[in-house]
Amino acid sequence: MDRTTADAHILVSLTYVSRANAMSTKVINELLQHAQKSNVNEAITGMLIFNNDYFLQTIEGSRTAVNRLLHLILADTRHHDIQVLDHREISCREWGQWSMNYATGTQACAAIYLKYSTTAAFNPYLLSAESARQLMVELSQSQKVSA
Amino acid sequence: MANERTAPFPINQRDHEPGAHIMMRLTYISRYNPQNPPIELARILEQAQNNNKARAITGVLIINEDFFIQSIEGTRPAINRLLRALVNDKRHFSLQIIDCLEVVERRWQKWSMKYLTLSEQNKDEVFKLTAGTSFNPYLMNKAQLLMMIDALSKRKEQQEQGYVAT
Repeated sequence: MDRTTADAHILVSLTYVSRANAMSTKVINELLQHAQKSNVNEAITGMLIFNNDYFLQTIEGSRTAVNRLLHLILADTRHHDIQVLDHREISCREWGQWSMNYATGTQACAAIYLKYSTTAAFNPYLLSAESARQLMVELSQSQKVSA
Repeated sequence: MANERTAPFPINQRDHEPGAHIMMRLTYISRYNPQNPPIELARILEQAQNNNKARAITGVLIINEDFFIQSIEGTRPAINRLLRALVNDKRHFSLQIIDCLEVVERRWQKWSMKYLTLSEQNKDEVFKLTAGTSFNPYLMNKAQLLMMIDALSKRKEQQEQGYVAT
């Protein structure tokens, strides 16, 4: 479906954190697959980091599409306490290659969490917008190297 | 007087929430629900002023018969709590965030919610930032919207100080 609207010329990036409600691995996989599919249709790209407790996600796309998705995210009962860390106009995408890239916030990456926050645990509520961005970039890179 | 010694913003537990040390400014636009009763505007403004004062939120609100444009600032958790309430508020719809950034200082510190109008007097300032024939914030980018809020706010202050005829 063609989602082009009058303000589709404005490219934005939105980053938020949230607390995960208890979810099985199966549900998480379904969530990711669904997100990747619908994001392709909406020309949304992004990056998601999650563990059993938290989500940290960046989504990029037209201002209309990103805001439409934000309304769905806010209404989604699989997580709660959603906090927007950052929403800005951008000149190019950071995650243009991925409909939704992802990494799990495991203990193995403790050194990276410590580098960008005051703790060695993954708690994105303690991150500033800039630290969150850099953390996502570095986690994505470390994942690529190990893959 | 005892009242005057009260801190402008009461200290409460929420000051210790994660992210409460971060100050944010959120600017959004939305469409005014035409089914609102005529008195609703005054009620929205009064509620915003009362609620925001208790939460150390400051900001400006621009309304005409079709749109809301609001810029609010406060702690990251407080702004996000307000955002969730705003998204569920049926008095407006199609809320779009324009900009939401960490800031080092407030811009609207004098106002728990400053009310600005789009009227005949300031139509030049608005037209300057409008590419097409009619005013539609959904077609404006962040820079244009922020410049418009600034221009309207400056004009209102001048009016209040008596420099410009109202």
